[in-house]
Amino acid sequence: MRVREWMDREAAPRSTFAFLDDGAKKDVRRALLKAVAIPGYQVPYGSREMPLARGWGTGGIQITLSLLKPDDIVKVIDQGCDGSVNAVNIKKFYERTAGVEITTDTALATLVQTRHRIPEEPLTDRQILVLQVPYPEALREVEPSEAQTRRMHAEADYARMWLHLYEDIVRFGEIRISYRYPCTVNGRHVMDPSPIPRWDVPKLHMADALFLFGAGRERRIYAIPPHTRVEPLEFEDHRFRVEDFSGKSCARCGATDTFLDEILMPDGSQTHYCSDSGHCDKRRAGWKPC
Amino acid sequence: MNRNLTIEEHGAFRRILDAIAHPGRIQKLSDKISDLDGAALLFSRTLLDPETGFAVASSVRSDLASQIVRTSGCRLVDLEKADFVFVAKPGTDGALDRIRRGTPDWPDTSATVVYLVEALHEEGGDRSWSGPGIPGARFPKAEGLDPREWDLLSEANSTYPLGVDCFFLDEHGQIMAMPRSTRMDGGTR
Amino acid sequence: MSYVAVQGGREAIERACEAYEHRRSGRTSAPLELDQIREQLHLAVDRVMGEGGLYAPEHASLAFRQAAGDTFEAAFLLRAHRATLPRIAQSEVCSTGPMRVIRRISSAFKEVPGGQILGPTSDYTLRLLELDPLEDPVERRNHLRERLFSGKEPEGGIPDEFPRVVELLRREGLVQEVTSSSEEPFDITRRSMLYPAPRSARLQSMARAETGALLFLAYSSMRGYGDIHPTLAELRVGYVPLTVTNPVTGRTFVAGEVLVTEAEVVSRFSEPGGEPRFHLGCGMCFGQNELKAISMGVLDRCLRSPSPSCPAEDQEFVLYHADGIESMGFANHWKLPHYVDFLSDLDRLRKAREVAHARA
Repeated sequence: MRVREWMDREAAPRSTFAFLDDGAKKDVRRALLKAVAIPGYQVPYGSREMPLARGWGTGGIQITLSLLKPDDIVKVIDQGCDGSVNAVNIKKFYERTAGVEITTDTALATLVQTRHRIPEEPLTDRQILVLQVPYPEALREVEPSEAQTRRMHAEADYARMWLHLYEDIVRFGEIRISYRYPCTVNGRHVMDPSPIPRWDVPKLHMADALFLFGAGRERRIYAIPPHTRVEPLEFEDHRFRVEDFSGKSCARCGATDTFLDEILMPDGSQTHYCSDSGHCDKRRAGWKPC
Repeated sequence: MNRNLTIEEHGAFRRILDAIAHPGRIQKLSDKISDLDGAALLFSRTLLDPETGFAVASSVRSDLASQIVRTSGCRLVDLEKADFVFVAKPGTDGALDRIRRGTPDWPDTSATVVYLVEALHEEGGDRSWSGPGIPGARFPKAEGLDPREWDLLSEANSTYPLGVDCFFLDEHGQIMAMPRSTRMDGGTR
Repeated sequence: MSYVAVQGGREAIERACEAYEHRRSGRTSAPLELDQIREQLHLAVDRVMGEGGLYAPEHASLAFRQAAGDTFEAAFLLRAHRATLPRIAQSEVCSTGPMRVIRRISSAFKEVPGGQILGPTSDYTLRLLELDPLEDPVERRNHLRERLFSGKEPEGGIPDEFPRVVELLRREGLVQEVTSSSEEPFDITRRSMLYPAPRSARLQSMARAETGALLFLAYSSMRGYGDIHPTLAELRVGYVPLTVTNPVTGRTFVAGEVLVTEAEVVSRFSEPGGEPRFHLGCGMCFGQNELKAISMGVLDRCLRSPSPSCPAEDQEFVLYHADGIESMGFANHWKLPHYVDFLSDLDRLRKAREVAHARA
């Protein structure tokens, strides 16, 4: 066979269901089971290169690809939005490689993959949320070395993280961590919940759904099972607080109970829209949250 | 690579994941399988490969063990080095001590134990299970398992996050899981 | 709003992909052929193969063309392709002894057994832009061919095997041996790196690393942040045969040759106590990429430092940050929308300002 012919054959559409080879899927699956068994602990795995760049959700993609069933209904969001560039790219990839159905309705989805948000509508115990993670290590903020942070987790030594929060309060009167707010999971491991806003952190606590976190570039997988304690780090006299949207509402659906994007108008004024676009659309169509 | 087999494994993995995310919840591993051997083979095919060390403790039938090795391509290793240990009824008879429980830095380098039992029930057990994945408490029961095995498991999982994670497969092709994060209280001791 | 618009996002993305392809395909120039890239831009192809971790000159040429000459992007294309390929076999451990050498120099000695073979290199050219070529390119090519290949073979011919320079030092007991374990090499494509990383993992990782990143780190050490003062014992470029064992028949056969660059670097002894010896660093990569092999050799030595004292000696610092595909992906991901995180940031900033004003 000539090289050219061989290359033509290589370029033929792949027939593997869900793109990844068997070995890669099994590696991810084994890591997922350990991750669920030790909530909040980061399990290392091989992490293959994906046809999307490192940093563009390859960790979440590898998890989803090892889970997908042909009858799944998948929702993919980025910043809460179904139509954002990253989400569109990823959906195209799933449609092409697994032939799954895509939805924007959280309630219809069996599997939701997300970057930086958790949908407003509560997830049920038959749903899985896959989160894309850039930095799996909550302690990276206070310690750059992986060998050191691993030791700190082993010894449950989180003193430096607490000190970091305390110093913020002393210097600024506020904890400055805006998103990626560190949480204690199952009373043991301090975990980075991925760059979700603080608004979404309470949704992780004692939830009905399973949360899976994938960091492709850093080669780590971790999880929060349903009905698991997830507590943001806070002091008794300095409580964890979510973003403040008091006095604001969505200009599209009127919601006052959702995370709002701040939109700058051409005249310099501000308006607000729901960050969860699917939820906002549903409300506009007359649906009421129960 | 057979596409149908691949899809069957995807379906099985979702049930396995659901089982470990909801300790004590029982379901079929596959709608098409209603026996223990079939379930054990599908389980192995979904998770094991040449990167995984496999061992048996107690009297797992040798033809089943060799079939597991053949269909998944996993390596047969000593009990102390295994990633997956399959155990037939009535239990490990103390061999659980020799199974890897991970290290403080890498608690994930522990073995997963797969118990092949007679029948699983969501109710009727004499120990209460609680912890992640369990709203309140559950009292599952595994017929065919020596009740002393629960004490050994409690002991093996007493220094969380070190420990072993367990799956139970029964003669109806059902699956149930007990990760190391599950607390067991009560019992006959 | 098209960046995040709920409607029309897909359409805009499709057009962006097409615009990229259109711009790359040129305006009036002849389309680039793969053999032109492979033969005439071979150093770029080599670099892409090395960083992509796949020895496939045709594919690398294709990737280089598809990436419009961006080596990061081309290496990424190749590595993503590699991830989809089944692993058919593993080669036997190969020695570079029987390398079919096209270039081989030592800067440690004036003369070395086997001789200094300068080979194809830009090292000794005058860096003058050829604004007015004297000859037609095809004529020039014929002319060069005539001059290089019609002459007599050197006296005694070219040896089949060149003695290794480091071997000469070794015989005198001047080189500190690196204890290499006989264990299975750590496979960085299948496992997540653990620190401290075994040498097999470090070398694999550097062999796939981005050339500029390795150069930057090695340069920091040789220039002053560190105490590695390297001497290039030997630099080789050539073809190495790869032997594979047929799993069924058990027979071994040569599957093909790969072009590699190998650098062996010795550095001054610095061990307190014990017998003074040179320390050896090894670098090797696909294709002709001498800067990379030398940088890797220096860093191999740096990373064995018992007490790291500078960035180039810190395993995590070097190995976490030298991979071009990872660093490129992450740096590029900042172009994705981050407005939710930013709003959260704004919320904290506004709150902190309130507190500051109240305090004042």
